[in-house]
Amino acid sequence: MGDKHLRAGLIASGTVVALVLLVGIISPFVPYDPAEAVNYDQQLQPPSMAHIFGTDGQGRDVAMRVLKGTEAFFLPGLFAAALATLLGALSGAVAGYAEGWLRTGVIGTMQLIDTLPRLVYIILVCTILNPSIYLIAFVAAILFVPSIATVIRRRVEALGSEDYILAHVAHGFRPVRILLYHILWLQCRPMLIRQATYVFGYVLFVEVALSYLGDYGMQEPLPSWGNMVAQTRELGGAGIWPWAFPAVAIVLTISAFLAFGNLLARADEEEVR
Amino acid sequence: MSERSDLLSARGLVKRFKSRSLLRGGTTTIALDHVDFDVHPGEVVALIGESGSGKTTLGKVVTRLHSLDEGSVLFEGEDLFAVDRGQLREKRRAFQMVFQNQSANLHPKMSVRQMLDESLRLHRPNLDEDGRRAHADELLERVGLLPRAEQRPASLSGGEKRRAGLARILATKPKLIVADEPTSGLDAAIKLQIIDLLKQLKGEKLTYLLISHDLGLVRRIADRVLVMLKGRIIEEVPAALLGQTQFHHPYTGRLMRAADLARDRRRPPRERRDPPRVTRPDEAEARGGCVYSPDCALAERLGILSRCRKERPPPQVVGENHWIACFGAPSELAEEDDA
Amino acid sequence: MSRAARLAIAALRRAAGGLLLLVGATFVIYITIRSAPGDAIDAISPMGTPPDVKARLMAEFGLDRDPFTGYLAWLVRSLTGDFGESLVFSPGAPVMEVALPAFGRTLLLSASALVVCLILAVLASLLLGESSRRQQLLTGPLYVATAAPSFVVAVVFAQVVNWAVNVYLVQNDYVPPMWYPIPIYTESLMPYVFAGFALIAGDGLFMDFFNAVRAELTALRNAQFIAAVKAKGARTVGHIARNMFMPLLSGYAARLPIVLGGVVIVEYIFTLDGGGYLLLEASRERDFPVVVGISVLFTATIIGMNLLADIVRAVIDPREVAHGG
Repeated sequence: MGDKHLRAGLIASGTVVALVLLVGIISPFVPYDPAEAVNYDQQLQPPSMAHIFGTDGQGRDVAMRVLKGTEAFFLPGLFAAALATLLGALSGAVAGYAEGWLRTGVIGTMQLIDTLPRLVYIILVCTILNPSIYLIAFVAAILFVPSIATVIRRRVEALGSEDYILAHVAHGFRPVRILLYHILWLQCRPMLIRQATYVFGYVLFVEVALSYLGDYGMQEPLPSWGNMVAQTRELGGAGIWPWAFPAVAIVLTISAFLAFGNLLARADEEEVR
Repeated sequence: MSERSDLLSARGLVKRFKSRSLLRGGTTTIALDHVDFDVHPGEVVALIGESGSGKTTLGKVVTRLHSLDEGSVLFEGEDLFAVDRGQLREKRRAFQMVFQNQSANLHPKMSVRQMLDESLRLHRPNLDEDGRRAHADELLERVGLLPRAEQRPASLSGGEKRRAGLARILATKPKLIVADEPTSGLDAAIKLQIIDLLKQLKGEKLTYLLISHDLGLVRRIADRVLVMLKGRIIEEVPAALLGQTQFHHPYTGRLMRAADLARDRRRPPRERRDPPRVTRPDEAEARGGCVYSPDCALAERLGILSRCRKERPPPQVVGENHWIACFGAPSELAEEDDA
Repeated sequence: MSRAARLAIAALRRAAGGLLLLVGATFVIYITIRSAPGDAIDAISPMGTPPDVKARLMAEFGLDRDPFTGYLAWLVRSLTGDFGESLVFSPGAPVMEVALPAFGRTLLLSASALVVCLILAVLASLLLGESSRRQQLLTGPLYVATAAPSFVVAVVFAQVVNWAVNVYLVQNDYVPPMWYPIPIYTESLMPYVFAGFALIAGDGLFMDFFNAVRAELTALRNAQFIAAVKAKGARTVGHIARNMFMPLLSGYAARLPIVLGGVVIVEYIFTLDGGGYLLLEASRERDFPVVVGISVLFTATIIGMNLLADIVRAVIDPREVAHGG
């Protein structure tokens, strides 16, 4: 991929990412009462100046619900991304640096978590605990720790035999500083950002999926992109606006986050070359 | 071996590398085979020998970057392999290593100034930010890299990378610098600059352990030369006598001739090979004997080959500060030179 | 040692490792059960469960003992294939009798989706040829289109088809031809086809395969040994195919969990009577033994696939055995 395409991709995906972050931040400050929004005179309106995304089966403004729907996944997603990245980076660093039983233990634990089918395990947890979205985000984060830890461990192992890292040891830096600053912070940051965007996208997916299924996610009348898409079941093909916009929002957000993380990592690789 | 006090003193160093292979079983390579030597304050000791002779391993062992199987390394009288990790880090600032790979001394994501700043933060904790900046400028000035301070390694040339590495090492005010091939991979003009820099620093009471197979560099700045072969030191000779004496170990003579040959014929660097590999006949009787014996014309001529293969020759003094590990020493060596 | 013997030993060692992982994973599942707040038995049984059934459940899941002996008892029972009886979904029937056929259909669906996806990816990369320009132009839109979760693709798919044909997919009276291998419970073949395509287009699956195939093809076209083969005048197709297979194989194993995640909801959308649908329905009805049974089946499948990929890799590539040990 050429430099030009890389930058274009970064700008395009970065814009969407920035937009989602912006909406996610301002959304809690926008007053919204789902009960008051119901207006049976305005059912299934196409997009207009008054309702830029149209209205749904109960006459509620779709744009408003798309905006408020970000609250369902935004903070849990950030929380899970931060947690998974932190735990993954640390356990990867420990496994890459340590030897003997500690290394074996960490790698074994990671392998164990990695064999759990993610969505199936989350549904199992839901069945038993009927948890909040934060607990679900926590479980999702834990399920993602192994893949992050593996990437980081390989990197730490590769860098550990590099002369310049040895030079840092020779120079008198503490191993902790070398591991955390010289390796993780300076060399693995783009990789970690990439993994974080992945986890964020996954939490969005899980929230939307559970809300779509209806038993464990966000419950009507509170909006989630998932239960908005689920309106197809009641509409029976009557209107496209109520579910098309949230569906587009889901697809755009997930692909933008994934692309942004990937391209950032690639840009970093090419910069060093 | 010396009357003066030693800065660095290595006794009986043994280092083996084991390769693990599940199916074929492990193989062991002996990288250091009972190596003894001393470095006195203020002198430049050069280690020469072909690739694979164990020079770099020795450098990494005396700076405790490798572990050691047997022996001890005393730095200022203290055993480096006996101190705990905290003390070791404290001590590290006194002995620093310049790595062979030009990029190896630098973090690819940090600018030269960032690196120096980080280094000074660690080694001069009582300097404030301005103090560190001023000191970094001074160091950069010394190595002539001030205009390139904000660059990252990727945009530095080979010589500049070396200088940056040296600047960082100087930040710790080391007593001993182990320099592994400090001029390899540089073109002639840059090489001279680096040599001048090293010489200039030598004037500032620095001690070097210089690892190189660049005999030109060694003749220019070294005081004493140790010749390594297959993990053993087989000769110690004053640098001034290098190539000027008749009493070289047969292997050193061969090394000299190979270097001269390469220079005289002005071959392109690609063909300037190290002398052909030595030793086999089963690793000189599984290293009980002299490791050069299978290739040694002198031993054959003197008819002492069977002894050379079975016994390890002890050091034989052949001149002032000059010994060789060879049963053929000293008088017969002259003939070998003519052969 | 002969190569066959070494292979057998390597395979046995990996199989033992896989078994260990399965035991570990089931322990995680069991601990999850035990982590239910309050009385675990209330969390895992449907409302209004009679006391005698509750007592049986307690015993089956070892809830009346400490976690370790309870786990051991449960594990031993589970290893014999006895996961208890379904409570709601198909009351009284052994869990595996309900779960296994459904899960088989899920596996068949996922496997067909993976195979078709690979074929499509190879075709697409061959059609696009070596021109990087065309590929670059397509990459962006393709990326957006295929990074969509498979269930969103499925919803949109169903809606679009529904809109166009104006017939509900799941109520259609299509009769499958005799040769069709899937035992079809919903009377139609089409939902399976649509579900399969939703799986392929969704979750970035096609994009991943496309990228992998493209990268492999480019690397192989430039590889020296291919040039050597060409120079000898031999055909290169076989060599390329063989050398492409290995990296893709490990890709299969790595992507199976993603596909198995996607299939759960896609089955639900198309009401296909598979393991995912069963899992969600059982979860909704709080038919707990069925939920646990299916979770274990999914986990075992992932472990088994990884194992299989490892072993096949070892058979194809002799270096794997020599170095990997």
